[in-house]
Amino acid sequence: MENQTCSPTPACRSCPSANLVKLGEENQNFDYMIALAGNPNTGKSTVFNALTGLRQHTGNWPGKTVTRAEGGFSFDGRQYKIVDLPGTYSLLSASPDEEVARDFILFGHPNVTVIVADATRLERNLNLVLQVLEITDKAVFCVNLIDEARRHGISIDAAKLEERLGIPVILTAARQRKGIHELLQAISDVASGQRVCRPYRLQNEPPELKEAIHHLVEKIERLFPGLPNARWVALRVLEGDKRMISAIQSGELRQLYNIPEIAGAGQTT
Amino acid sequence: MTMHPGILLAIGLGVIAILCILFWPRRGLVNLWRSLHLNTRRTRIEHALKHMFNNEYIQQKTTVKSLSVKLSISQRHTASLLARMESRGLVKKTRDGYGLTEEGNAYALRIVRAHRLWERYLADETGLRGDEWHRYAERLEHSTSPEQVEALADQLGQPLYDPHGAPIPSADGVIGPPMGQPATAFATGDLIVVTRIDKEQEHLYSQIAAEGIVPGMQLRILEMSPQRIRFSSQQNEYVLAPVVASRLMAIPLPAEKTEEICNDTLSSLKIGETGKVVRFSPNCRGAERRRLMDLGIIPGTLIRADLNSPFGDPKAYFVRETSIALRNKLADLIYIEKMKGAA
Amino acid sequence: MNNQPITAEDILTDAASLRWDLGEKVHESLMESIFKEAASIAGDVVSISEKKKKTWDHSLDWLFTSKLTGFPIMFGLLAGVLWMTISGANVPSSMLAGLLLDTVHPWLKAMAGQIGMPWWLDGLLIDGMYLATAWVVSVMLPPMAIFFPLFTLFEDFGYLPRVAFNMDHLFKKVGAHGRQALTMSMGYGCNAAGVVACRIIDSPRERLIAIITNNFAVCNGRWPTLFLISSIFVGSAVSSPLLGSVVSSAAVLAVMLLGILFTFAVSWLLSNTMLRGEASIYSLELPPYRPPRILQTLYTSLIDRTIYILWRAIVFALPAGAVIWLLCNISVADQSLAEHLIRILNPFGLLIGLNGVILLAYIIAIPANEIVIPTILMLTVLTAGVTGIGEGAGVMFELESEGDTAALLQAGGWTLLTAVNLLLFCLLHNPCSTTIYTIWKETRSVKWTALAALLPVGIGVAVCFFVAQIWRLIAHSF
Ligand SMILES: Nc1nc2c(ncn2[C@@H]2O[C@H](COP(=O)(O)OP(=O)(O)OP(=O)(O)O)[C@@H](O)[C@H]2O)c(=O)[nH]1
Ligand SMILES: [Mg+2]
Repeated sequence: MENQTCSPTPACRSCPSANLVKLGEENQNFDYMIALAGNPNTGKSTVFNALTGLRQHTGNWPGKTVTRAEGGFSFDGRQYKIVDLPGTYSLLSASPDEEVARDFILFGHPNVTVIVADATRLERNLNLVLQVLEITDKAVFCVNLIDEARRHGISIDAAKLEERLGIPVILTAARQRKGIHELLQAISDVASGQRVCRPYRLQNEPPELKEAIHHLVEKIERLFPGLPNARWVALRVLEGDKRMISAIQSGELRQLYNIPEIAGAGQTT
Repeated sequence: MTMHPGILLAIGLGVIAILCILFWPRRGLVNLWRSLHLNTRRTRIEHALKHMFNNEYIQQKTTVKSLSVKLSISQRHTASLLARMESRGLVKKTRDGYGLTEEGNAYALRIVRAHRLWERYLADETGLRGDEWHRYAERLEHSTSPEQVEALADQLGQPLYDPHGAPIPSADGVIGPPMGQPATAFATGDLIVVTRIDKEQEHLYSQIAAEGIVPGMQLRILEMSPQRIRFSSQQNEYVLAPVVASRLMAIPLPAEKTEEICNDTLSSLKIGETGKVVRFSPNCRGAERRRLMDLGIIPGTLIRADLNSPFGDPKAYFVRETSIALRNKLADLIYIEKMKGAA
Repeated sequence: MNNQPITAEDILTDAASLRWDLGEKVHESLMESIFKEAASIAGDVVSISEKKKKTWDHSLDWLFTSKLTGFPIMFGLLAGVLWMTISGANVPSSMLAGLLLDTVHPWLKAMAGQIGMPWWLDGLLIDGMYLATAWVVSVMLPPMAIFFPLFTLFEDFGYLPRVAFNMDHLFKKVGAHGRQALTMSMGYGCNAAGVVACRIIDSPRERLIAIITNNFAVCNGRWPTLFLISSIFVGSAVSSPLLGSVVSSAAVLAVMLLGILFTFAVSWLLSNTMLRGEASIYSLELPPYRPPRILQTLYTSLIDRTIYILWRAIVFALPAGAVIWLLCNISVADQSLAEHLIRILNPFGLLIGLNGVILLAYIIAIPANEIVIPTILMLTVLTAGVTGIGEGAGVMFELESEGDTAALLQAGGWTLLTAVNLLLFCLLHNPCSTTIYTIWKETRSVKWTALAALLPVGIGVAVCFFVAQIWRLIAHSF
């Protein structure tokens, strides 16, 4: 594997960033774990390859990656483990082909979730982004395939998008290794807590659903104080998600989100 | 080489013929033998319990006669079956027939839950035809342990209704009230939504199923006479005899939805035409429906027919900047409003 | 605030009753509102300049999927790729064979002689393991180095989903899923990968069908057998070498199409018997065409795929070479083990138009199909008693040209029927052990794994049997 760093001259195309050391599959000890989520065929595996120097198969059709792959890199002296996931359209449905990705995003505790999207279909991709932001605070939005978008005369106002979503937004062309350095910087900022995200949360659910969620959230928060995403848990329970229901029943939810069991939890005064 | 190839060929064909006779779908000997052994004593008891439960649910009484018709066995056999069930504490004699004991009721609820969950599963996940769900579920319900039933319910996301619109009893035996009234109770010109199709009388049920009427469908009553009842939906007209129509439970269509009733389907779009999604047909269920929504096809979405495949069956549609291929069978289930001009 | 302690049960009962109140529309209205918000955000940040460049996408789509051109282009491309592979691999293959077998092997033997290696160690290492590996490399490397880069170019361009789009109607007819075309394409690389790729099929019934029938896509381990047998038996039937390569690619294409036919037939059979049901509803995204980066693709597919596959072949060839050598050199009651086994298998082999050697080779090759050809050739030398080629039991001889191979096989009692049936059996036999294990991992069911493993052999034996009898019947009557 390519373990050497090199100077960030434009000629050095395989090294997108000066401080990046691709570690291939070496990921014994890592400081942070990064998950690559996103719709199918948006270039997740290509981003993964650019960061790790590995050669995950890529292909221009949705569903190329079906199992999760892991790799490592180090940036600015920190070790990262990065997980490439199969594409998903949504976290809200129960399709078995998307289970691997869904489970990892929900229960894998990545330190940072990088959402890779196709710049030419931003609206469609935002569906998943908004769902991920319901679950986690630590996310980076990587708007990939920006070269294609430009070719089609589409331009994206990254600053405004960043402001709307409350998380860092990076425009990349992963196949050309453009924007990878900025992506790394954003990942490291969010992972280390230097940059605090204020993610966009859904606002326009139908009123009766909002009420139901509100009612449950209040109870869930009393039983599991400190749960970071009680809203999501409530939503999933309302949809009859077996995984969530059994996690509540067995109290597993506590471990899933590393919440210490406080004596007398649930007895708020 | 010892044997003449012609003789070998004949032997080979013979072996294939025997295999066909044994394993041919449905009519093969293996299959016939299996269905013969299906009617064991326990299965009969469970079917009887289900029948009584359904009768009690709609407040009808169960008699030896009704049960013997249901199980298609003689009245003498039925009486001895009932006696056996009585001795096991499952049923009790009432003034005008038989009723379930508490224990019998709980047992029946378990079977009904298994049956309806299986139907839900078969409808959502297997792609079996509508008239086959019931047949398969009748068989599967007896061989499913309570744990398996719960696993199934989890897998399906604890559904509330079976595909015929009947409520599924919860694991602790709570069941929602029946919804809707018989279609025969409405008048000409009414707009109704089908809520449930009663399956208790199978020959009547299968007529409705064969017409393709399912819960959630919106119908307009065109004619209501003692001879026949005529309905129309988006594309079709249905004619049912009143006895059959009385198995169709419905509620009036909520007023705010009435203007939605007449629509084209997505499959009727010609290449290059654009439409706006209005709603999904109730026949588009479970995973299919969710997958469509994940792909960004939801009411209000603009959608353009984009590309024909060589056989004309799947067509590609342009939705939210992406080309998505859908089979016509699915496109039939999406109602749209055609838009004038290109979008 | 409320002082009541809360239990998990409270929450779940509450949720259950709320669920009854909300009805089944929750998901729908939620998705609706998410997309509404997504549209509002996207509308804010995306701007499209009017001078949108016209792209080729639409014309290409029309070309690849229209009634008139869709299928001809598909088969044309397939035939073209096969022809390029066969004709392009010929020369480098014989060069490699020349180098590894004619030059390196004698040199190794000489070295071994010099350092005084005992005959059995020399035989096991050089005549067994080295030669088997050398054979696999020279048979596999050139065609794979041509086939995979070409395939990857089409994959990166975005052609595969169009194939699936074209074929979907046929899959629907047999009760299968349209994405099965994609999993089959992956199967042409490696069946184990194809089986894993079946995860993209979300309906369990159709996924099982796709897993069980994936073996009808000829994997890279089987390509060399097809290429070699069709060029030495079918292609050599015509005199001109150019025409020969066309004819032999046609034979390979025919086997592939037969595989597709069997995929449909078996899918139909399954969806009418053990896996009853109609084709479920499906969706497939057709991505935009993306001009592939040709050099980069060539480089990575050579490095990743070809070398990886070759590596796997070598890993399996080494022990297989040792096994073959041992089988040929351990004698029981005056005959080597291999001869015993071949004698036992021969009657059955002949009955189905093959022979004992081929059957034994397929048994040895259960771990990997790649080693079928070397094993067949070597065992043939042993039983046909051909002298002048090879140097003794268990040595994988060096053959200068395909003509020699043909002569050798003919001496071993091969006819055109044997060749044709070998082509068929190559398509229709059990998956390799890696694939079987993968099927088990994916289905977690012994029943389906056994079916997936045994069904193709069953079909293969039956097909070969009938072809053999009919062939002989016709031969009799003339
Ligand atoms: N032009 C261009 N093409 C890209 C870029 N990034 C990825 N691609 C191409 O897009 C296609 C899809 O890339 P993948 O990395 O396989 O996408 P993925 O998100 O991993 O896809 P799935 O595994 O199927 O979910 C490949 O053909 C890549 O070569 C980019 O920035 N620009
Ligand atoms: Mg990928």
